[in-house]
Amino acid sequence: MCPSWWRSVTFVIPAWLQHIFDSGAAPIQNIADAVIATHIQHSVSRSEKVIRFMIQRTVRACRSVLVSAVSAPRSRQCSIMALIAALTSGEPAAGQRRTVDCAACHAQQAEEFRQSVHAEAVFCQDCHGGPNSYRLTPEEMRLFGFDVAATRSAAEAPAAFDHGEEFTGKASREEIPDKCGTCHANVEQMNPFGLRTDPLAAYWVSGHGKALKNQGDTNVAVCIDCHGTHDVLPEENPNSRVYFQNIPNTCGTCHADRALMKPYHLSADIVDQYGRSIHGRNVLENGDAGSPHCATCHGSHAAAPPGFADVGHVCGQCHQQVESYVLESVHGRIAAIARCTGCHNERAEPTNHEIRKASVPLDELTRIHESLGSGGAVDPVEFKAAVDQASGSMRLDHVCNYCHAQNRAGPHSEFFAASDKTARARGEELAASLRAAQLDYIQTKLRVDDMARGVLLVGDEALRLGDARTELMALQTFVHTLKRDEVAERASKIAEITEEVNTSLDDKQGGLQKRRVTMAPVWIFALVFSVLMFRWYLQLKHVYVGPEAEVQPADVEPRRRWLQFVLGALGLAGIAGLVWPAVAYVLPARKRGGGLERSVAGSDSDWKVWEARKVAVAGKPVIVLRAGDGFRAFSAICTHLGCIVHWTDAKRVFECPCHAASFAPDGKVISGPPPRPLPEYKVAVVQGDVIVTASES
Amino acid sequence: MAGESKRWERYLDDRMSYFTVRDFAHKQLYKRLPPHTGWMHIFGSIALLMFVSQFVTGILLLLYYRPTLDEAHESIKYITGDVAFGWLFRQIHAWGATLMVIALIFHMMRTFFMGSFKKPREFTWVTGVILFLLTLGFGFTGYLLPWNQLSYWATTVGTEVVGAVPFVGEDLKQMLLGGSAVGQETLSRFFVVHVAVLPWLLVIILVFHLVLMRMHNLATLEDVGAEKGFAHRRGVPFWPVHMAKEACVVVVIFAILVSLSVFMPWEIGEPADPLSTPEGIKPEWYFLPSYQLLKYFTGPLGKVIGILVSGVPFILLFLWPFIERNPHRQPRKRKWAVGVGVFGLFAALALGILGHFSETTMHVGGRVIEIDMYGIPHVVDENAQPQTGEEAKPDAAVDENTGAGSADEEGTDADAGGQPASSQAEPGDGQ
Repeated sequence: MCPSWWRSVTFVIPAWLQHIFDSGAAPIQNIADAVIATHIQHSVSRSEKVIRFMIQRTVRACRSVLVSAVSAPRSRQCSIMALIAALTSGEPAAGQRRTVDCAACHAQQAEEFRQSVHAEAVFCQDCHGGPNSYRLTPEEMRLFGFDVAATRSAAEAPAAFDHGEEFTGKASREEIPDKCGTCHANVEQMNPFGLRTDPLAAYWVSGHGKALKNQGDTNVAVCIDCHGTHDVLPEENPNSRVYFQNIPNTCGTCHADRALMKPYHLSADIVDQYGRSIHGRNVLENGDAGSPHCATCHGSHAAAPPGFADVGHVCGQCHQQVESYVLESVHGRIAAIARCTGCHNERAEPTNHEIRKASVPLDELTRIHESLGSGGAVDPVEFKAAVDQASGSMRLDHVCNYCHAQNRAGPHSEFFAASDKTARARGEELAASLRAAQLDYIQTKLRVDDMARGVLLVGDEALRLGDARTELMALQTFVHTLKRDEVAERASKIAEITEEVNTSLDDKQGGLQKRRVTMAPVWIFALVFSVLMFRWYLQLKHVYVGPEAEVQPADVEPRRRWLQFVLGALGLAGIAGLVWPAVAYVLPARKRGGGLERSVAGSDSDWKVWEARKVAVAGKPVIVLRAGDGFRAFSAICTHLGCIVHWTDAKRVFECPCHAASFAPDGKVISGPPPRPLPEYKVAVVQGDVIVTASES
Repeated sequence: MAGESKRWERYLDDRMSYFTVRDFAHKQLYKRLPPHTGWMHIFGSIALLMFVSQFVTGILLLLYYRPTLDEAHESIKYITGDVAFGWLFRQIHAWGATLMVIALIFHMMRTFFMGSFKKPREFTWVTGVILFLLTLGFGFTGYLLPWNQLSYWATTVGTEVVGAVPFVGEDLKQMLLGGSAVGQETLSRFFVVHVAVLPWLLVIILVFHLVLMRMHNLATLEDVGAEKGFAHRRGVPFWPVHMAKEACVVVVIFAILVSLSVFMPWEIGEPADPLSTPEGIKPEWYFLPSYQLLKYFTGPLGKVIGILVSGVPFILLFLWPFIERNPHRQPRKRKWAVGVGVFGLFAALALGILGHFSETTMHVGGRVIEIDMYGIPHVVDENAQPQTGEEAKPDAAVDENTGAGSADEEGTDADAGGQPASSQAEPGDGQ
């Protein structure tokens, strides 16, 4: 600890020593104040705030050293400070009075305080009043039982110690908020630390604060119940009571106490419920600081339960997209229903705190599918059952039944009964659409993964399937609108993409199968050729080798001519079989797999109507036009002689610079020599990106 | 045969000595090989044919391959995925390398055991050994070109060996890599060596090899200096008789090559990532014996000894015609030479098998057996208790003997020290 305070000491020593010599004897506190004053006086050119802060820190550092030096002389590490302490006590070391600090009696509190965030800037008397240290004669020391070195237990200290007139002692619970507020609601004091000054005001409007103020109920939480007394730690310290992972327990000290909650008619189970919820498990088990804890929904200083109709808004703080969809839905127009908690619960009785995961994430769905049967077709019914089992919340198609089941007895049953049938049918439809899209995506995904492990290259397909995934994620959110037609439309978009990918995969797999099948004729050819050639070899040997061999090659027996002929034909076929792939290889390569190459033409948000942009798709120029009714893409190659057409906004036509041809916005020829309309490409808007695929539609 | 010369023949003869050329070609084509020339004598031709196949498919691959860090792997993907029959030529090129090495090994075995390398064919043998080494060079440089994880790391590990050469090792390695690690420079120079340097060297030496071969004709099994020769009529004409025999085999080998390409294709793998080494990096099978042998030599001095020891077989191969100087060709009459040859083959085979199974995990009869880098199996306790040497020993006994045997064969102190060390090190490594 020496180096840091030593720097501080060197900073103040000149002014300090000067002051000591000027005033002769002065208590530490006075010296510190004088030093502050001196510095402010001599540093007028600098920002006062900075100076004050620096000096506060400096003085605090010096003082803490002095305190430790005085209170524990035997353990002192820096004897020079003891010397300075002796000097500043105004009397020689062998004098008649000794300085006693709060820590001399209140050792435990002092130790807690020393580790707290307040050790930086607050002193005992700031909260408790009175001086921070007392100068006592040896007689007083003896009288009050002070043995600086030995006595640490407060019990041994006589109660009769007079703390002085200014000493206010321990604040009552009613006083505490204002006590903390003296600093924490003071802008000047909080600004150097970058702390907010509204906690006090917020507290007074909270459920706790109102009860304290209006009913004088001292059972409610005050500052110290959440933040601690002497041991206040910063929020980001994992030991702090208000560290995000500790908050449920901190609130639980009261809210899980059945006896304490009873008079307020509050459930004491909520902390347990929270612990089981998706949010609680994220916070407590996974350490996810982004997941909500008590204060995220209820507020911290202004803690208050959100009203029944406001629960949706609370959830919407994080789940913004979902909230806006829910408000679009038929439920959005009815204020008095439990929008989020009504469905996202495991049990039939909604609890606000035990929020279960909404649906099974795609990756987990994929795992379930794999576990049911790898590669082969999975029975949709079996899949649905497995998914329902894995899902933490109510089953997708049963969610609606919670309110809309006819047999439900309850205060609102008549209201619900009016639209029961429609609602249930709608719910089942939506669930079916969503589940079909999920199954579709998963099966295609598994197929792509499976093929990626083989020799075929399916990078394009995987990329395209990524679009389907994006769409599906969006759809899982979009179902909150409960809009049947739009959901069906989005689901069909996913089906379209998976269909496209599957076709492409079929194509590639077919090619692979063809290769394998081709091996049969190759082997038949090789074996036939080999066997015939062997016979031919025997015959040649007979003809050429041996003493009796007189004939010349031309004189091979005529009846063996057919062998020569067949071998010649097979040989030619074989050579052709070798040359043909080589020729095909040299020819320009074409992209296989149904044109899955895709290009992003831009974002639809900054794309004006009747604006056209050019983009290269699979190396070819394509013009993407935002027509009145949506995006359309055409090949930019004029069908006449291959010049590149451009869009003329003024006339709203595509014009070709060669031969003055023009095409309508739908690609049809208006004038000029082109024989055919411009070929059209597929365009899709995926999550705001305008994507052109290479397949000409 | 010449008969009456035709008009076009005379026309050509006036301009390029057609008749001389024709008579020379004719003589070579119909050259009579010794009567005993059999099925064992076709491996040289098969190797030659594989070389031609590699040459042609290599040129085809060059049309699309791009030897840069960013594009090498992508271009291989392009060849495989988009170019018509690109997959076929790539697979034939990859499998052809393996078949070529196999053909060469059989060719060399035949030559060795039949004593064909003896006077006057010593230089034919030496050029043959050079051709073999060049082929291994092709394999080593070509393996990097796809620039996938396996090729990258196999090359990294392979070139580390060079670094252990005393004094000049590090410089040599840097020269080979073109830098301190495998990177663009390595890719460039391996590419150049693979497609420009080695092919030329190979063609030149191959021509020399073939000319020598034709000059001396094929060797018989008669002792050196006691060759009786053969009557012209008893000889086997190269064309068409010997060629017909070769054609029988060649067509089947091509079918095998294509089948391997279709049913056991080489994977393209993940692109090279210098930041993560995949599990189980091993060199190509024809480098495995040397690779495994080098593992038994640890420490700076051990590595140097290892390189020297693994260099011995190649030096022996080179110098063999000058070491074995007896006149016999019949294997029965040269027992010790055949013994050395058989021993060398089995040692290489044993090391190769050890190398293949080292650092793998096997499931035998419901038990999990981990084989460490020295090829010694350890039974892994299902309850995952820290294993001890005693547990592993009973099951490992058989293989341990083999391992010890093959290592002892090389006869150095380093392995004796290496093995106990390994069994002590293993528990720590495994857990």
